[in-house]
Amino acid sequence: MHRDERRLARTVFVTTAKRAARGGVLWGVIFGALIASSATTYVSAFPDAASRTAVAATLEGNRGFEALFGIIRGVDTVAGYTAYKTLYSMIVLGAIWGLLTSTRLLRGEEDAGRWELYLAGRTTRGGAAGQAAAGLGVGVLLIWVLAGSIAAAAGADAKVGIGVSAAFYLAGAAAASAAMFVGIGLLVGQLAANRHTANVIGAAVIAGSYLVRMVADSAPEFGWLRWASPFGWIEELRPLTGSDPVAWIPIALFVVLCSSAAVMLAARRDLGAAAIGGRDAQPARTLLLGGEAGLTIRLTRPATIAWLGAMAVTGLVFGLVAEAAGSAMQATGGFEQAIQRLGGTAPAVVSYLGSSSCSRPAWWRSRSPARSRRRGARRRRAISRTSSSGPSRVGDGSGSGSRSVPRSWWWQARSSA
Amino acid sequence: MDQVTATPTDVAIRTEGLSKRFGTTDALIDLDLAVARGEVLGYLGPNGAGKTTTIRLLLGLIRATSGRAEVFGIDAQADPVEAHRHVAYVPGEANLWPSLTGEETLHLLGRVQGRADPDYRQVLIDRFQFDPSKKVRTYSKGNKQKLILIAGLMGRADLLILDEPTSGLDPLMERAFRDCIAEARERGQTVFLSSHIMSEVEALCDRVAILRAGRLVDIGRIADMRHLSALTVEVEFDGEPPDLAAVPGVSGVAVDGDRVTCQVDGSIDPLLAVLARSRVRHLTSREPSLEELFLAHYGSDLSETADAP
Repeated sequence: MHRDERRLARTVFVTTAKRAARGGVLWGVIFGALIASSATTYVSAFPDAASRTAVAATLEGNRGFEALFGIIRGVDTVAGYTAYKTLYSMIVLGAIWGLLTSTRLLRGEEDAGRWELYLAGRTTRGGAAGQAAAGLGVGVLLIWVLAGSIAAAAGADAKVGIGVSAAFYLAGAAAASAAMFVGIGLLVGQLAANRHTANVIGAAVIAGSYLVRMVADSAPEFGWLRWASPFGWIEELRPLTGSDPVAWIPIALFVVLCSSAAVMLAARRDLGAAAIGGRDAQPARTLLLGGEAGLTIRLTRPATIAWLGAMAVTGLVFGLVAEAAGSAMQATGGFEQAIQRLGGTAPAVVSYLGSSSCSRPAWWRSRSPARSRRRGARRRRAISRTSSSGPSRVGDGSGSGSRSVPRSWWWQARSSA
Repeated sequence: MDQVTATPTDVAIRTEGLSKRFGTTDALIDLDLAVARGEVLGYLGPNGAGKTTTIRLLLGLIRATSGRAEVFGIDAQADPVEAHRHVAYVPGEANLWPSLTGEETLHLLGRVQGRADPDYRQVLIDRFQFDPSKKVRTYSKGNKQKLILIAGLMGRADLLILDEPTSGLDPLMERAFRDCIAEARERGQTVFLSSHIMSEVEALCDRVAILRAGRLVDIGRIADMRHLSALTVEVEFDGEPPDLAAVPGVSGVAVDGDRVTCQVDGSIDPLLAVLARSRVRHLTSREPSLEELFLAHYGSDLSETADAP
């Protein structure tokens, strides 16, 4: 094949890569900044070994936090805390970026009628899908390189002390999430009737993966479930906390399998055809078509039902987890001090936990009055202990410490009392 | 039916028993078609007749249920990349990349097709009075269609596959398009023009193929298809309308009070002779729409065919 011929054959790759690169650069920089920010914040908030040991004692082993953010390891080190603080933000954001970008640049192009312009050129259905997959890989690569470079630059500070390879390993974990959900997006884009349906299916996979991983981290006996979730695999990589590269195997296999299946399906599928949700005709249902409000309900009904279901499940799971986290925090005297030293994010976390706890279905809260009474008594005792232990106290009504206590935390304790 | 019989190298498009089924719907049924190199073929049919399905099969965008499609002797289904070396495709409607300018879009589509003649591209831009400096999202429907037309024509491909290419163009630009197709024919390019605009096809095409409900119902030179030149005549009478059903060449007579509508094949003289003996208040005649022609000429035949086991 001549050079010109090869260049022509790469047109879909080049076009897709250019478009994926924009998001890749943006998220690579954001992830890198997040890693750098977390590391430097920790160094300034916990400058000595004693304070770091204290925060580790507070956070490690907290099943609630671990269910939300993954197993907490080595938070008495800059590296361990940075991994704990950034990993789940990055992998969830990376997953969403990967899914939305891949469905937009493949199924979205097909829905818009632009894909047939590519296919009328020097390529095939499968070849174009393969080129698009490779182009999306450029976006993932940029996330890894940029996030890793920024993290390595921040890690070069002697006080931070995160090595280049460790920084790139952490950035790789974030990029791995993006890569896996690029694969999912490629695959569901071939199965679904349109981009919207593909996104809904992909979002369900993200939610399912996260929930399975939450269950896995909620109790040691469920730990094996981490190997049943893409997010669990990334957690098993243990970036900055003992690196276990074995988990790269399922991640790599997953990406290769999803992408290969997508290319294979694209090669065998008619342009515009779908395996899921491709109903072309149905009896007329005019009930909600009397006006704009009804039409809006009709058009948003599937998404609304999906969101309500997802919120109910998430509320229940988060409520359970928050309850466990809250109990553990109350039992730990140094928690409040620790979170205040970590800056503005800790109150937000605690507020979040408080509001998540409120989101539990009422039946769950009221199912055992006797249990609630016992829990209330324990909390009153815990508050009493904390009030007499130091300057930063819950509910003592005096000093700046009391004003800085997160309100939801105070509310939760008071309402239980 | 008038089929081309020639060696494969003289044939730009050949299909044999080409069929496509979507679920329970037969979109294309046993299409046997040959288009000679350098020929301009009009591919006519009402909406849903199977025109776009045929084009997608020729381009390898969808898989044939059965049969074979060749472009310059190359199996378009098995080796679309090789077939596409000879082809430029102009869709009837395309949502082009809104953030690209017209010039960038032309560059990209030139890369996709693997050919572009910058000088000829400029000629086309001037001829279609197109401003390529603007972003696609600012273009009107007609300007987007000009853009996709220029992209298709600029490479001087051996075979132009045009799927209702003039939708959205004003009459002036339709004329520019016809000039381009005439020049393409002079250069020896083959044109496969899918359309439902009879006047456009009559002006441009050497032969016409007519498709209905997925079946090729007629193909031949326009001069040989005189039966397609039927006129629709509407007459309003002062008083009782005369019986026109027995007039030679008149068919499809529909009476609505003092108004009569009918189709006239061949000479209109017999009808005018009858009308001259009546009190005519108003008379209009027009070329029938393609749909009317199909209903008049093929409707009953096709329904019988469809009902056959």
